[in-house]
Amino acid sequence: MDIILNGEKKTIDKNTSLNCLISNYTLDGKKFVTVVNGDIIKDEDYGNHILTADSKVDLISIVGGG
Amino acid sequence: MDTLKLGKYEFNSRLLTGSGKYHDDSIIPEICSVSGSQIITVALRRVDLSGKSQNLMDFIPKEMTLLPNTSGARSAEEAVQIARIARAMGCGDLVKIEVISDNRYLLPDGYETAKATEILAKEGFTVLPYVNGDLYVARTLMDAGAAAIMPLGSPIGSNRGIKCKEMIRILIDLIDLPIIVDAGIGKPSDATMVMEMGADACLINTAIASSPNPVLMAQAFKEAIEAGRKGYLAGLGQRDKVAVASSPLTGFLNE
Repeated sequence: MDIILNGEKKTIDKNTSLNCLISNYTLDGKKFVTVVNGDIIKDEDYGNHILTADSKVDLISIVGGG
Repeated sequence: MDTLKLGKYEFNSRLLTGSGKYHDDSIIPEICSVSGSQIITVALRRVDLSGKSQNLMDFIPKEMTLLPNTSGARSAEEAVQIARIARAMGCGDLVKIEVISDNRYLLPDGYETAKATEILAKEGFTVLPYVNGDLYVARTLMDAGAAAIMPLGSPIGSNRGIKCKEMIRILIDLIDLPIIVDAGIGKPSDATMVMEMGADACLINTAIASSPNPVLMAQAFKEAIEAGRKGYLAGLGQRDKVAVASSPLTGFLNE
């Protein structure tokens, strides 16, 4: 099934959890927050949060700004 | 002690620094150190999933207070969402509200900013809204629960200096909240000028980051802001239209 991850279409297996999705990426210890369809997901819920088709997932982190 | 009070927070430094536009983020610890700043702004963006980008937080000293901005927000709703994400990330409850839909001059939308301020203040955020120097917008923000007002000096990142001097002066006169001059300050003397006028603090990013010597410039801004503050506290002398001799006009040697 397809989801949108950080604005780009990705194909993932059905019943993929948020935890599983995130484990595919090297985030180098960056602090980040995950937003799924506009909702902020708590870290402790990543394992239980099963993604559905067309989910819009954003991983947000801190960058330089003024 | 002459401290800057922002809601429940208190700071000794009146210089807020930004973390954007540095050629290399590894300079940030030295910038924080020499500037004496205790508050640093950050932005929120999607993670670079390639894993190639630096982790900004590796370079921000732990003792700094983070001031996340809501840059990228084009509406109150988006600004509120960014602020909530920042708090969920552990950035605390200080937030600089930026709502901008004009991409050329990056001028803030006072109406949307006020809406976001009201919502976030009710949620317990310490809200610092970035706005044009408009008295009525500032009053609305004060009523909405803002902890300070951040009027722009000139367009963001322009280094053009204080083009809105009289509007800032009016806010200093009539708004009973800290006034933090943000955006456009291009040189240390700009900061001194607004501090002498009675501004409570300045937020400087581009002028430091774009200097050929950012560390020395950060130190210059620290001293400029301290000088301006001392000048304000001391009180400026009377201005006259004509010369008023500083030396006695009697008792000349050839009289």
